Amino acid sequence: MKLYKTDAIVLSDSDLGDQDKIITLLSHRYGKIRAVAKGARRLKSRFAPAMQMLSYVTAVLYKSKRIEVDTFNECKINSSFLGIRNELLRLAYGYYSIELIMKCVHGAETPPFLFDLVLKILFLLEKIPKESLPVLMRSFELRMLTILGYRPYLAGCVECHQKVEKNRRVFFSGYEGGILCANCSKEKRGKLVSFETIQWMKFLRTVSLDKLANLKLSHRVSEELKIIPKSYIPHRVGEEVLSYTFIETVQALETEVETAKKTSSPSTETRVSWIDQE
Amino acid sequence: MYTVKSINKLVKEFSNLPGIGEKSAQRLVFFISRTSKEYGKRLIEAIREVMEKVKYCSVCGSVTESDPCPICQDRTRDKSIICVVEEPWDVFVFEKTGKFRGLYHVLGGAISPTKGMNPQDINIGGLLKRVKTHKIREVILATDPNTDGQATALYIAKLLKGRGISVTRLGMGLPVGGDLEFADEDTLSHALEGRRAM
Repeated sequence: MKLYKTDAIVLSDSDLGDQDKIITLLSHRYGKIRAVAKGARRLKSRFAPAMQMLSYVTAVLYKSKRIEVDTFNECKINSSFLGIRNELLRLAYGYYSIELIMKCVHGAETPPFLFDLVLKILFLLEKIPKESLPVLMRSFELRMLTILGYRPYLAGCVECHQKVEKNRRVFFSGYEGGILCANCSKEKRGKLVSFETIQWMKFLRTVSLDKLANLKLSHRVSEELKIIPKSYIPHRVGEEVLSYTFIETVQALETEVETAKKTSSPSTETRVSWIDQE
Repeated sequence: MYTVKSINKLVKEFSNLPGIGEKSAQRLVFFISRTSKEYGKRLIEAIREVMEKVKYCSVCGSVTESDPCPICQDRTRDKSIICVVEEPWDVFVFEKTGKFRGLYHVLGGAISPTKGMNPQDINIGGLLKRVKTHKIREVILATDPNTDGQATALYIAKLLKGRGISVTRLGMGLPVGGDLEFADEDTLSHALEGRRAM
C-alpha cells in the first residue's frame, strides 16, 4: 500500500454499509478518484464534514494495489464554499457544475489545469453577482469542453467548412458538434442562432474569468447560449445533465417570488406552477 | 453441483434486501435453517404483519398502522408547528427525545438534482397544502445536515416565504462528546451562530 497526498474537490458520496462512505473526488494530480471514508456516516466522524459534495479538501489516501478504490487516511477542509451552500440558486449551479465533471471526466487522465479551472469556478460561484451566474456557467462549460477535447467546432460549417459570415443565417447543432451553414442545416437540422451568439461562444472560451461579472449579454444571446447545456453537452456526453432542470426550477421560483414581492402585499403567496396544477 | 432448492430460493430473496450480498444472505439462511421452528414462525409472522398492517399516513406521510397516524390524531399535540423530515424513521428519532410536541411532515426523500430527484419528486406539494388549509405558525426544517438536505431546506424556505409563517432550520453545531480541535469551519460557524446565554 502506498500513501499519497492531494488537493481534491468532493464530487459525490454514497453509503457503504452502516458506517462508511464511498467518495468520488476530482483531484489535482490524479484525476477522478474513488475512496472509502471509514466511519464517515457516524455523527462524530472526523471525516464526515469533509465528505460533503462541493468541499475543497486536502486528502491523504492509501492506494491499494489490489482494488481500484483507495482509502482515506486524513482529510482537511480548505473550503466548504458556504456562500454556495447558503443560497439556493448558487447551490443549483454548484450541483450542475459537479454533475458536469462527474459525467465528462473519466479516470485518471485529467490535466491538473482542469482541477484549477473547477476550483476557480467554485470560488467565483460563491461571490459573483447572481445575474452573472449563467454567463459564468457557459464560460465554464466551453472551457471544460475545450480541455477535455469536446470543443464545439466554430470556425465554419461542420459539414462543408464554409466560413460563417455576419449577414448569413447560422445554425448550431449539438448532434453535429458545431455550426452548420443554411444549406447543410436543411439535412442536418440545426437550431438557428445569431452570429453574435457564435462570437460570444468563442469569446467565453478565452476571456479572463475575473472579467465575467462585468459582461452584459443580450436576452437573445443568453437564451441561444442555452443550446450548450441543453443540446451540445448531452450529445457529447451521451446522456442528459439532470441538474440543469433544477436550475430552471429554482430560477422560475425566484422569478415568482420576485413578482409576488413587486406586485402585491408582502403576505401574497408565491404560486408554484407544478404544485398549483395538482 | 449439489444445491438445495428451498435454500437457494431464500438466499435469492434475502440478497434483494439493501446492503445484503449473496454471502450475507447465505449466512442468514443457514442461521435460520439451524434455529428453532418457533423462531422461524415468529419471523414469518412479523414480516406478514408488517406487510399487511403498515401503511403511509395520508396527512403526514409517516409509517403507521392506522390512517391518520396516532401523532396526527393526537389532540394534545400542537397542531400549529410542523417538523419537516426526510424519511419516516426520522420521526421515530424525534419521538425518542420526547421533546417535540408538534406534528410531522415526511418528504419521502431529499432534493438531489444530480440523482434526478427534483422538488416534484418529493412530498412538498402535501406540505404546501397543509400550510394553506391549517393555521400553521412554524415550520421546522429538519432535513439532513448535508448538501441535499440543505438544498431541500432552502427550497422549502423560499417556497414558504411571504406566507406569514416562521420557518426555522434545526440547529447545527458541535456534537456532544466531540473535540473542538477536529471541528470544521462549517460546523464551528453554525455553532457560533447558534450560541446561547448561560
